[in-house]
Amino acid sequence: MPRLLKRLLLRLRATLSPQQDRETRIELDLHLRLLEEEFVSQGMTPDDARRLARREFGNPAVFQEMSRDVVSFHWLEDLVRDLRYAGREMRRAPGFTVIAVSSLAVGIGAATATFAVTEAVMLRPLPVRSPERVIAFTTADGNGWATWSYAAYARWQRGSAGLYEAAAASDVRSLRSRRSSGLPPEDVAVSLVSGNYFEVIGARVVFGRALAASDVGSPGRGAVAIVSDGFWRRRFGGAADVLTKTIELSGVQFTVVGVAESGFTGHAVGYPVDVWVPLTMQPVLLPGMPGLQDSPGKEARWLKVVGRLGANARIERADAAARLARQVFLTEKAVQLGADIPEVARDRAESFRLVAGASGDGAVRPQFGRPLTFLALITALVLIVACTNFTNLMFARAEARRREFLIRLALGGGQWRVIRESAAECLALAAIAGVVALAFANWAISIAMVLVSALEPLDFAIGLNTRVMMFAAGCVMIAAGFGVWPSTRMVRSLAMSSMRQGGAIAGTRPVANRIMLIGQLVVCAILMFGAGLLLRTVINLRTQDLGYERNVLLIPIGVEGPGHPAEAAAALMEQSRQRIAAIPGVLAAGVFGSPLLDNRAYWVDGSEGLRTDRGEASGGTKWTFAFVGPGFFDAVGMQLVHGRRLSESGQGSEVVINESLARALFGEGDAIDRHFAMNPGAPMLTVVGVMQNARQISPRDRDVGVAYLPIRGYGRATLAVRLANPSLSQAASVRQQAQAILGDVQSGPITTISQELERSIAAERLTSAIALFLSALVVAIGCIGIYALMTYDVTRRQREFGVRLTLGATAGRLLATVLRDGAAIVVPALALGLPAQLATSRLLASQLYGVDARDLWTLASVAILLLVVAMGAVFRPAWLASRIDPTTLLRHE
Amino acid sequence: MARPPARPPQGELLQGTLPLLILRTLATGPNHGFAIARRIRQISKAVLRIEQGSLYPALHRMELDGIIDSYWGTTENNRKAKYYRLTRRGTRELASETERWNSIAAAVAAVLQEG
Repeated sequence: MPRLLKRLLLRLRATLSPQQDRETRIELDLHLRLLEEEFVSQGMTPDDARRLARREFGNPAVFQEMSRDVVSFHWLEDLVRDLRYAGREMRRAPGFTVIAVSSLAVGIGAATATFAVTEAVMLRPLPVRSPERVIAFTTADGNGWATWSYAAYARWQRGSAGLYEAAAASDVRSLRSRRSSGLPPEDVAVSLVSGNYFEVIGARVVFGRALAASDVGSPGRGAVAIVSDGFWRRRFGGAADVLTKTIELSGVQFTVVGVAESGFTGHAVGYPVDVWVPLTMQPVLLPGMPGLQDSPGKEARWLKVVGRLGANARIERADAAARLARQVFLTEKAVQLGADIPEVARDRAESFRLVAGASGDGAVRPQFGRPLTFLALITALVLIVACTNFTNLMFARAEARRREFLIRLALGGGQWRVIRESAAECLALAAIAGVVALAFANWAISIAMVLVSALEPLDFAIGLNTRVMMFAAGCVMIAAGFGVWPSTRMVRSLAMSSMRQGGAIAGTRPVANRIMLIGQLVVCAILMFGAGLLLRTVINLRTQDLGYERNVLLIPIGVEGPGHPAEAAAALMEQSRQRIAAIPGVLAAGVFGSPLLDNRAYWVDGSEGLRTDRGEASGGTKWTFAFVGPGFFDAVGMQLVHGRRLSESGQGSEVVINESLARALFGEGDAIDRHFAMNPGAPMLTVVGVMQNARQISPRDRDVGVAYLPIRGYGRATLAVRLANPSLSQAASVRQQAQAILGDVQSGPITTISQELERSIAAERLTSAIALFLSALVVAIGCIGIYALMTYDVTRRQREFGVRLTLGATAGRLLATVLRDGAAIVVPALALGLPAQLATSRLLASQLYGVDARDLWTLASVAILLLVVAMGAVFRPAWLASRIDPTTLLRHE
Repeated sequence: MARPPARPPQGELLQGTLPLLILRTLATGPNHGFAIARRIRQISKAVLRIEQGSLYPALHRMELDGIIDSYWGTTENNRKAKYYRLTRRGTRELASETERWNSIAAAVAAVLQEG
């Protein structure tokens, strides 16, 4: 092997450096000189000696060449030469180079960015030791891995028969950490895990220690924490003394005992963990559920269970063991609770499975699957447009070099040689474009991640890793392939024609170019229409009447933790509310306990559970309920239609409903003083008022029924504050005063309803932004293509135009001729685009709001815009044609 | 691209004999190109004639094949010259090639005596 390597190095050196050549020349020179000297010493004249030496030796140049042939790589040398040539060509036509590179970079960049996201969200395995041995305990249905109780986990761990090792971990919870180790408050992503979690999943703790059995001794014990590498760097600046620090969570100080290896952020894709703590801390961190009960019974399901296959164990056998353990568990449970209770029946109905866990818990994947497919489709179109545009550009270039090709072929230059040069040029252009594309993709990803994280606290380590680079390289090769085709075709046809008729210089009109351009413009029309519809959706969502005011401050408040009974907390918060309501400039302040405009809010599809005082409710209305406190309706500016608001005293059975729910429950009749229950068996509620419909869950939901119930005994809520004058200065001053009044009671940053609205439509904004951006790019590429083709056409027909001018054609006529040529591309594209637009926009229908998928106005605007832009691109070449000066042209000829 | 047809480097020599002669010459010690050519001429009593320049492509190929290697040194007259020497592989190669050549020569001689 070293010998092969040495050979390779020798060859490379010989190929790339002039050193070898120089050395050979020294050798040959010396030999000739020594030969001469020998002949001189035999008595010859110097001249004779030189001549004879030369004859004895042979032609040094030939031997030098042969020697080079022996040791160098021809193909590499040729490639280097071709690339040099390509570089020269590129410098000679900088405009062409910039256009070709930038349009390809856009196509490759968009595709690469999409792939990078797909790779991170869909394809990448967990960054752990032998991920193929990781297994997950789940069921056949639902997104991601199933959730189990601690008792079920404990049974699996005990019944593993050595075939696997099981660990448990809670889903990521965002908990507020106040003032720990002198640092400001921060929301921390926490996962509660079993003591063997790191060992089982195969992640190393690189600094400090992993969790130990003593950490998970008994419930409420084990206030220690492992932090992620990212959290360590972010929160503790990567300092080595992190092991002496603590993190405060729910009033308890957790001592940091270890730092997990870089890259490992837990088993759930998209939800990186900052801090892992022992699951025995559940009673403190997630109070209010029997989380750690380890015998079958009424237990809470809150844990994901992961495992690692034992040495030599196969997943089928591990699965059998796990099933057995589960059967025993369920039987015990049935004995304990009685076989006929619904919970046991439901447990039995679940189809348990042991699955490969290498790709992590992908609960977010289905959510991303559709948008990513959508995005992949768009970017594929963009890439195709960019590649065909490249073909077009290379076509124009090949046409321009027709004469050069012809001369070279006539002089006996090989076809292969000419094609290879062009291939090297395409490859160089595509490779440069690839590098630019990586930068572009990196930028696009970071922008997209900012937009996505506004949507949900998701985080993926998206980056340009090896797989992504390979993908980009593949795109580069494809693009280069698209570029080689024109010159190949040209050279072939020239070689044929030159054999037949000695070479005709006249060019044909490139029909293929026109067809490709029409195709590109059709894609433009499709993307623009889609982007237009999405843009109108965002505008509709943003400007519609929500049923409440937008300029309302929202202040999250909460008093939690030990030493704060809920009633006392509520009293404290009510006091604060009244003080804030009294601030000058504040119209009203009110409390509510349910999320506003939160897509994840709970709602019921169908009114089957609802019961009225006269029997069942009719219809399948989607409905939800919300807890509201004193002053809420005034604070957000919701309008009362009938009756009155909830009384301050909060009569137990009072309820206010909105018009939709009133209609669903009581038809068109008067709803006031009627009664209904939200579940069969639940207490009857008395309707005291009917509110105008307002968008409670999502800005899209026009007619969701809402029951507003009085909030009581709350520990966490939101304070809504409406200002008399929504000017910035007043808002700032009220914010300050409110913060001063609230102090510790404030549990998060102040927002406004407008901001919440923007957040709730982040997904729509993201899709429309991407669609707009990409369609703008594609339109730009398409216009470049038209511009390049028409310019080329005009240049080629200069003579014809000159002759026509001399024969009396006016400049205006020539202008019209070229414009007509351009229209011959643009108009058919628009005509063909129409059915394509309508067919594809149907796919978008479910994402639209307040605009029809066949919206005529959007369709017309897109057509007009595209017509104007595309004809704008034709105009300059047309103008150039009209400015041709026949005298200079003829003199030139 | 058309390449000039490769000329057989051995000139009038029998195909494949030049490397063997070079190896044999170098078996007596490292030497530079001119000296190798002179020795071949002397030993063969000028019967085996080659264009001396054709030695160099052959040397370079053998170096690439790893049966000889080279270093820069100075001649008796203090001139900078590239010296070639046998590698261990070269020594083995010389032995096997010599044997092969001898057997061929013997076979040819036997055939010629037959007639």
